[in-house]
Parts: sequence; structure tokens; C-alpha cells
Amino acid sequence: MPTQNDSMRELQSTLLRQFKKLHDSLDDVTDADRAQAIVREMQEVNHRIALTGSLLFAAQAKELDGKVAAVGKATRKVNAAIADLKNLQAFLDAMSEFLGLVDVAIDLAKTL
Amino acid sequence: MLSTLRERLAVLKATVLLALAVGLCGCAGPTQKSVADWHDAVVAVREQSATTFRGVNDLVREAQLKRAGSLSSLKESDFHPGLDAESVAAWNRALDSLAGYSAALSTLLSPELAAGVGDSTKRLGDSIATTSKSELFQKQPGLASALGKLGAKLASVAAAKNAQSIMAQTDTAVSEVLDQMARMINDDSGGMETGVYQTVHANWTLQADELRLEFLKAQSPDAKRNVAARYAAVLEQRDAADSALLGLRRSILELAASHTRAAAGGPMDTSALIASMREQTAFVKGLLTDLKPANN
Repeated sequence: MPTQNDSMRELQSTLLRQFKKLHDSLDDVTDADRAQAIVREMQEVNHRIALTGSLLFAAQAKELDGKVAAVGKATRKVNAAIADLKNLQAFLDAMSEFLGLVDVAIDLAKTL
Repeated sequence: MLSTLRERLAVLKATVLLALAVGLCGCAGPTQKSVADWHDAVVAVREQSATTFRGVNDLVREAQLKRAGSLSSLKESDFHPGLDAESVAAWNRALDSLAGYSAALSTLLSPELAAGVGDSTKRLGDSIATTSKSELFQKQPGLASALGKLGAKLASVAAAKNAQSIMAQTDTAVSEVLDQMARMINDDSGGMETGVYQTVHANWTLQADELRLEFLKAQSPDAKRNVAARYAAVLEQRDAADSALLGLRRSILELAASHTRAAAGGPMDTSALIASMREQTAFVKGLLTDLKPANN
């Protein structure tokens, strides 16, 4: 079953083919009035090409939001890995501090 | 004496083994520079697309104003934006998300983070030496420093492995986002051609054909030459706009390809891509400046 995006793609594609036909037909026209009519028709078709293009872009942008969520999840994983390394560093620092305190305690015990 | 020799040998063995372990597993994974370059490329695509999309909306508005001359009444749909603000915001959110992801990867891979672990390892080594009053540490004053360097290297290897593993897990999602963005610019799948590129190409073609009409109405050879010169300029601008959009699409696809390469353990070189995008952005800005006088 075609999605809404497929339908809009089909519509824009059909309009583009129509636009090209009108554009090509100008090659054989030397009468200004006839050319004027074709260009006016092209303006109408072009307006609808832009309109369907805009609606298609909007629909695709909505889909994009859904896909981006997975990238956000990956960023959280990377931040967790950074936190792991920082935690390791904090642990090592705490151990150094602890050993320093042990030294102080031993020195104190020696004076008793 | 024998005991000191054994201790020294044990330290030497441990150091060699750890260094080998680092050497064997340390070659894999993306480098901080390549990830930082990829991040810069994402930011450059954001800048390039913002400039390009402004151009698209100016072009569409120009055509709407010309068409209004033949309308009997005005409706909002007659002035529908080429690309609406909400959708452009979603586009920017996607790029911001990729930029945030790569910035986090760059932090994870930064030498400063690994060096912090190394410094802490060295401090712990010094503390152990003081507390244990170990002869080994006294006789080998550089040992704590060596342990610190080893700690930094191991942290750096762990970070690179983590980064590559996360990139491999995320590669499908990153590719899906970037492929979708490339399709929004131009999609020629299923025997159809759609996207922003098509809208822009049709608008420029219409501008050129309006000049062909003006040419038919021109009364003198001079007037015809004048219209022909403007016609040629519009065709050039159309080609330039087409190239800019296809260039943007290529940049987006190259971002996806370089992420996939890095996720598989390969190189992630995007420096050439960034240079090309900066050039294209400058070019599109110039084109936008040219656009207004050409239509007046």
C-alpha cells in the first residue's frame, strides 16, 4: 500500500513531467500570445510543484525526527563511557587520598 | 640481591606484556582528529543547507509574486513557503543531534581524558610507594611515572574501543538519518524524481522560459540581445543552483559513508569534504546575491 509520501512523490513527479512537456513545447512556438499562454500554464504547474515539494519535505522532516532519536541514544552511551573513565579517575584519586590518610595514621600511631 | 633481580624481572615482564597488549589492541578505532573533522563536516553541512534553503525560499517567493500578477484573488496557499520553518527546524535538529553525537565521541577520544586517568594512576603509584615503603619504587623512581603512562594508554585504548563499538551500533541509525536527508534533497528512486532539487530546477527553468517569452516580444535586435544575455545568465544560475544542491546531497552521503568506514575500523577522513563544502557554501552565498539583480 503506497504511503502518503509515495502519493506526494507521485504527484510531484507527474507535475514535473507536465512542466517539462510545456517547457519543450515552447521550442516550436514563435507566436508571443501562444508562448504567453504556455508560460502562464507553466507558472501554475510550477506553483503546484513547489507546493507538493514543500508538503513532501514537511512529511519527510517529521519522519526525520523519529530517526534522530536513535542518534540521541548513542550520544547518551558515549556520555556514559566518558563518565566511566572519569569515575575510574575519581576512584584512583580516592585511592591515592586514602593511602595518604593511611600514612598519616601510621605516623600518628608511631608517636603514641 | 636475588629478590631484587626477581622483582625487576617481574616489573619488566608486566611492562612488556601490558605494552604488547596495548600495541595489539590499540590500533583499532577512530582517532579524535577524524571524529572532530566529521563533527566539523556536520556543522559545515548545517551552514551549507541553511544558506541553500534560504535561496530556495527566495526563489519560490519570487515565482509566487510573478504568478500573483495573473490571479483574481489571493489565498494563503498562493504564498506557501518553499520550505516551512518547522521542517527546516527538524532538518537542523537532525544535524544538531549528529553534531552532539560526534562532539561526545570527540571528548571520549580526547587525549586529555586519557591523560587524566594516567595522572591519577601515577599519583596512586606514588602513594603506594610512600605507604608501602617499597624498595622497588625507591630503586626505580620512574616506575610510578611509567605506570601513569601505561594507565593513560590503556584508558585511551579503552576509549577508542568503546567509541568504535558505539559507532558500529549506531551506524544504521546515522545512515538512515543521512539517507533520508539526501532523499529530501533529491530522490530518483522508483522511477520518479522528487525533492528540493526538482522544485529549484523547475523555478529556474520557469524564469528562463519567461525570458524566452520576452524575447519573442522584443522589437529590435538590441532588445533581443539584451534579453538573450539575461536568458544565458539565468541558465548559468540554474546550473549553479543545481550543482549546489547536488553538492549538498553528495556531502550528506559522504558523511554517512565516512561514518560507516570508521564504524568498521577504517579511516574517517573528511577534511577534503569540509574544504569542498566551505567552497560550495561561499558559492551559494554569491549566487543568492546574484539572484536579486538578475530578477529585477
